Amino acid sequence: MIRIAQLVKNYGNITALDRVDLTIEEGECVVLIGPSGCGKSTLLRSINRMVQPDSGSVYVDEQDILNYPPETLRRKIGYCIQNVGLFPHYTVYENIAVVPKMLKWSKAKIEERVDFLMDLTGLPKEYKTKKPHELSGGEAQRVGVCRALAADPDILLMDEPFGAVDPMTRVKIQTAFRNIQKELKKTVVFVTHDVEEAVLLADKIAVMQNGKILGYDTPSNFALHMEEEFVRSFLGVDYPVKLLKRHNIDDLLNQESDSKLTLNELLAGMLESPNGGVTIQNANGSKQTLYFEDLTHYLHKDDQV
Amino acid sequence: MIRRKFRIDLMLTFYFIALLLWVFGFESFKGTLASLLGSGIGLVSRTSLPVLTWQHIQLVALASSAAILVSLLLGMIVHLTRNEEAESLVMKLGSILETIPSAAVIALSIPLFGYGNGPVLMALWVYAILPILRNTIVGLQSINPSIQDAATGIGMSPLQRLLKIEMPLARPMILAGIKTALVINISLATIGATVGAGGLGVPIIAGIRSYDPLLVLQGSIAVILMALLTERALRS
Amino acid sequence: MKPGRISFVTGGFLVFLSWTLLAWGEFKINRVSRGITIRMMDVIPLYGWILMIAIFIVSFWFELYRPKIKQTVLLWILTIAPALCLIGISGFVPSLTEFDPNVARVSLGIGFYLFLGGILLMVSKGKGGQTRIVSTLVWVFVALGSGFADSLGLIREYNNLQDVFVRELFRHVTLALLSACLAILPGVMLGYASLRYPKAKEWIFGFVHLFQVAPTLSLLALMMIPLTALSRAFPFLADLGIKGIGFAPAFIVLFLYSLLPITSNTYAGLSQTDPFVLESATALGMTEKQKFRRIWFPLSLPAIFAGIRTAMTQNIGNTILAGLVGGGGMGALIFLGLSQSALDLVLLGTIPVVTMALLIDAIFAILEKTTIKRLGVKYDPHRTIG
Repeated sequence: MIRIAQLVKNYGNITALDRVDLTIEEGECVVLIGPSGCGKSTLLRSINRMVQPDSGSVYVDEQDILNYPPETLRRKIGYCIQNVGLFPHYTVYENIAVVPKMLKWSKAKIEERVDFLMDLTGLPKEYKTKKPHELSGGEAQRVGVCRALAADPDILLMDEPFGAVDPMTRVKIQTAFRNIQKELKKTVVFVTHDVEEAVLLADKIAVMQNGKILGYDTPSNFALHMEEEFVRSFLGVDYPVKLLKRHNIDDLLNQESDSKLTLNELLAGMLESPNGGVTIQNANGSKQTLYFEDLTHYLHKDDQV
Repeated sequence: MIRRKFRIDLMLTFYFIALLLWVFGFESFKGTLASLLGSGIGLVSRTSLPVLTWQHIQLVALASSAAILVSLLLGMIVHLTRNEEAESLVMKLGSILETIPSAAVIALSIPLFGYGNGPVLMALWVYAILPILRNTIVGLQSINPSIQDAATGIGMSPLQRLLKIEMPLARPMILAGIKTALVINISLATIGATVGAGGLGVPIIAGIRSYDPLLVLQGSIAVILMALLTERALRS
Repeated sequence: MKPGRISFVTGGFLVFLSWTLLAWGEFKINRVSRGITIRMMDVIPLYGWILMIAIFIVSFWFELYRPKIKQTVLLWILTIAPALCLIGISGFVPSLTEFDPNVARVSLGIGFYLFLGGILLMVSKGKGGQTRIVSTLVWVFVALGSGFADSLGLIREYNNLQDVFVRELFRHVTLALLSACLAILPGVMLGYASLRYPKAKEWIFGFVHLFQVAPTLSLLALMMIPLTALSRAFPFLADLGIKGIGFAPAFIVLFLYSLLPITSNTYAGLSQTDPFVLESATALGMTEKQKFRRIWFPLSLPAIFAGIRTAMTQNIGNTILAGLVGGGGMGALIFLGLSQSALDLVLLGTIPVVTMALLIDAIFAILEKTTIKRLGVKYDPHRTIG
């Protein structure tokens, strides 16, 4: 659990963090989003003391992070950046094993952990002996994720980790990450400027501008506040449509079906069809046609009437 | 705010004044120096220090100017041919030539020029060409191709483009090469004294051979100041 | 234009030039007499001439019309040509002159050098060009050592001074390489200090830069003054060999000279390390020491090696000047030769220096390449010498 209290950081006369308060619950994936220079990276890096704030405090599990040496803190926190920063002279295995080795894990334990992580991120076993320059962008970033998770930290910090990857690989890696997060339930703080990425991965989104948090809520709840100026400008006027990506048909029907369409793909199908209906097949073989009303009904099912 | 046109470089002026003082004032304070060093005034070189300095300058200036001419021409020609092989060949030959100790080049020029200033000029010329040529080629090579595109697009001929656009752009690099060449030459010219050339190497060598620190100082300080001065003056 | 063609044609031109009336050598009855010019015609008998021209023309024809496969065979044949000519030149016997065969000597002339240079250029073309260059030079060395070229002035001088030669060669290498090696640690530390304390950087770089700009000879000479004073004040130093002359001034000057390339390359290597790699290292929880030892320093090694390489090749050349201050080395031979107008002696001193410089450069190039491969780092070999 991460609690940020009244964090202030100035660079010269530029305010990067303006008395920021934020609480991140355990197991939550919080995405910080905002335009360039809004302070999201600064906020992220204040958590593992890569940035020293001018005033304010950060508490991890109710302990002030200044209470112990930065190295101890950092070894308990995973960190992924856009440029990955893999050590070029280490193999994939050695890169991943860095923190466990520092923590003096046994060789067997390290090997087991590396195998597990590579499996989890979909990296073939043969890659263990490869050097970073032999990897593609997506593969390198996966190794970065493995390396961040190697010592099984409770907290994972990610600063636009998928930004340098081409769009097609990015979707794959985002989906993979989402599944990993479902399984491991880490506390994740994720920085991005891509709304769609935020929608896909976040349990909560914090929208920032000029060092302040303008809004902090679940992705769905933001859609209920489209009248707010900042929601429209940062999340987009078409935010509700973007939100659709989060869910798929199985969520809508509350049961398994043969179709693996996400809801925005379903919407696209509806727009294509002359009568606005899309026919899908349930797991038990029966067929069903969905119309636009079914979509809106699902999206607003939790609203107070 | 008043904009100063010339910023006075302190170190540069220092070197310059120090050099002048040393060269022209050496006769006056050599007595004090001699007593400081505990040596006698001893052998005095037949030529006075100002003359030696001038000889040195002449050697360097002559060889360097000839080298600048040849290097620039050669560099421009090689660049115009746009032939990578020619460029790399020239660079490779240059670096091999650089590995050959300068004393050898001096020696090998003796059959052609005899003893004296001749072989030294030859060696100075060769060793000045290398950095200038290399920097000219590299400087021209490193120009953004889109600039060359734009120039051709406007309708410039390759020669015009070279002279009006590319050379000015490569100028800093070329000047750096000239600076290196001059410094190398000032250093190399000192060795010329071993084959009968003039210059500031004469008192240095004489001082070494006769264990006379005064002579050594006379030449060394002058030539070191000259080198520092030149290097500082051409610093971009 | 086909690759290698320029070298080939330029080489061919040089060879052709050397066939004209340029002197291929000089025959002298003894060291100081005037020489009889040896021309190309005198070197090889007529059939040799015809053979060579034939090979020459054929290889040019191949250049223009035929695939390169057959041409490389011819090029390989050409590699032995200079060596054979060398032996031919040294075998020159003038008519109508009395001479003592043990004293008379032949000096190589510009014609031969042009021929050698031309052949080197020609054979460098195409696959295996580098090997052919080395092969040509190896043949020349073989010819020199074979005993068939003993009347070459070069060999005569060598035979006169064999022990001295070996001794001075050893001294030269030791002086040059040891001074560079000693400068590695201080140089690296200075480079690191420049990065760590930016305010000191100007001073450090200015200091080491001074030694590069100041003429070597003057530094050498100046170094003699305090050393002489010191050895006079503390006689035990003189017993150790640290005097105003000898190896001491040369060693110190060479040491100072080696500092700049090592310092500036260390600085470049350290400062050019991928900042994201360094950031990851910190973020993973490495202490500054761990980061430096495991990540930063190893990744800067290619740059440091480049600096050491420069320092060593520089020193090999600069050690020649040690000969002027009694430090020995090949310089002693060279300057002796210069003072006696015995150019073959000068050549005898020069060839080892050039060979060593090229050799060390090549060895380090290989070292750099393997390190870069193993580290997976892309270092830009910008020789950042001020």
